[in-house]
Amino acid sequence: MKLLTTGLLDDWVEAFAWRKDSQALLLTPTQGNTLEYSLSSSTLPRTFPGYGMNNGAAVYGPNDEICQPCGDGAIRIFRSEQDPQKIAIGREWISAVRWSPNGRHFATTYRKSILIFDAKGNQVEEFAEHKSSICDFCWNPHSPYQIVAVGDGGAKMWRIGKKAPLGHFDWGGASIFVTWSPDGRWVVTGDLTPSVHLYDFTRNYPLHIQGYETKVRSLSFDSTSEKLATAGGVTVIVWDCTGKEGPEGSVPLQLEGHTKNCTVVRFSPSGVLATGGQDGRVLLFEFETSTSPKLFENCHSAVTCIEWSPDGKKLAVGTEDGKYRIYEK
Amino acid sequence: MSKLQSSDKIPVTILTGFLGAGKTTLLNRILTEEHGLRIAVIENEFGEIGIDHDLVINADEEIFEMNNGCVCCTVRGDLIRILGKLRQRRDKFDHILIETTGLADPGPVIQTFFMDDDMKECFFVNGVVTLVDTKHALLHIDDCDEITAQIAFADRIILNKCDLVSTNEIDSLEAQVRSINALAIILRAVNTEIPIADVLAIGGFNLDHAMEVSPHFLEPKHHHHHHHDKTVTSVGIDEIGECDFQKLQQWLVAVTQKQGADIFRLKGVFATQGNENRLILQGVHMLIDAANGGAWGSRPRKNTLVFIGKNLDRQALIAGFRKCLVP
Repeated sequence: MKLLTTGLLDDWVEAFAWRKDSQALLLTPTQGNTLEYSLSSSTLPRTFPGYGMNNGAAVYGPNDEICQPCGDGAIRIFRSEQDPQKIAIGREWISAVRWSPNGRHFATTYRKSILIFDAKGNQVEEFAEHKSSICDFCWNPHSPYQIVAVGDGGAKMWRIGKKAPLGHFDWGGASIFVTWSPDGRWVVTGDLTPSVHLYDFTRNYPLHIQGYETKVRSLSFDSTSEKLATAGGVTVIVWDCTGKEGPEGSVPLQLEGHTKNCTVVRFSPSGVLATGGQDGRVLLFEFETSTSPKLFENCHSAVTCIEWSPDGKKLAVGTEDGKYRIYEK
Repeated sequence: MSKLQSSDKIPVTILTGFLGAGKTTLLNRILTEEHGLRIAVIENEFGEIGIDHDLVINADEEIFEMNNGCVCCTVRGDLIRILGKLRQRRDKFDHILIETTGLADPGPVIQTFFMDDDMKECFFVNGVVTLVDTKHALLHIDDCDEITAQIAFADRIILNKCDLVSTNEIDSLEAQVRSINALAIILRAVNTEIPIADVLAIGGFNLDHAMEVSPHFLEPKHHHHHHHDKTVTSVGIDEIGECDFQKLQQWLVAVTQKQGADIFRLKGVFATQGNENRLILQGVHMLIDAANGGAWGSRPRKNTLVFIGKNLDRQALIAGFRKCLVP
């Protein structure tokens, strides 16, 4: 992989989002201007000003419209050649906007509610029964109308069109992060106490995994839903989620290589695992060959963000010092 | 973009007190006065600061339970989210002030900073400041658990609205406050006109100072007749000598496990065998945090410990501690 380009954002790199053709990238700093960087043209990056104290991660919609969750409590959608559509939600900053797998809806959360909008930006649902403010949410990649949100009181799953939740998984504590496996089988949460909870939909069965050194901050399934990588400490733990019982009772792969906490894990479309840590290192694990990492880069600043392009050929890495690096195979 | 060294932790002051005690006035002063500090204020959801300020954040005071077997271990879930964001902007401010409502136990707020690695790395609890409406407190201190809790948790207590009551009444209230909390520094104010530096205690809530200032409060109180025995008290232990660190640790863990819900604060400075530095311990409920207090130097090696809480058995605590001393 060679370094294609590098640059500096206004602040710590919060998030990246690739356009579906892998030719452009949205780069969101924690505050300040969000950039759209185009790999195919040599024009300067397009800038989107930040609002208030914090930026939420900017994402692309199904027609490549740019959706920006803003620090002034609004969502702004930039369609071509027009002023942005502004959807005012509340007083507090909006942390995330996520599009459903079929592109018909997007969702955000505000306090204890999930808000769902159609592609034009009209609100179609409000699921307001969470016990606490929602910490994270995720669409079901396998079923476009289902969404899960987590906070204190565990996880609640909803379906657009149904008033009552589809499911509720309360294990007595709070969850901070959530992801859903590509095949729809598993909802996985990273919890406030150093642990991970999984819910297996094929058996309606919850699992609890303890033993992490610190809070699990990052979760990533590979595209086949076989492997789940988790970051909670110096060692990266990868669980085998195949088989009737999934990871239950199994010994996970423990990947060494970081000298400080790993904070980001991301599987590429072809199954290469990239990990980033507070040690500034980016490691690549290619499971076919071995479980030893390739030290990909030493960024000399804590890694905050890693995203593979949809075609799997490019890798974007962001660090605490605001620097972004884009690599290409 | 240059970032602070990770050793530059940001001090956090927790401001508590009932609606009407003067918090809004105080917060407005903090945000508008020229004190040269950049202070991020996290106000509770009923906050009426009314200043459109980049550094004012609204919080909804949510309690998250820690699923670790301790029913009193709760943290402020909303703060974890907010502080997570503030952590990314460390170089933009010097101090954080968190305002809590009068009905909220400040325990979960303090515990939030002890429970999470990210928090411990970036922030430290500078102290809890409780603002008291003197007139209101005189009427309700005997029957209101929340007032008592706020006083018990405080490192610094500001008796506000002193112009509305007589000096005798203030003295009487101060004595009652002292019987609940032996360690806090008590200040008097009118209309919260008190130097901001005193409120934020820039320079830190010096545990030593607090321990040195009021050693005589560690002795059993003479109870006045006009009020019933409080269930919230301070128990102080003061012993020359050295502790066996393992025994001290085991004893404190046992005490806080058994009585964690009833122990609001504990603070101590210890001389431990084999350690030339002072060991400082601070706790909230079941959580105990340790710090290196620097060399003893020429100071006599001794141990001072204060428990503030409910249903404390003074004799049992003293006896238990004495077993930790090296003979």
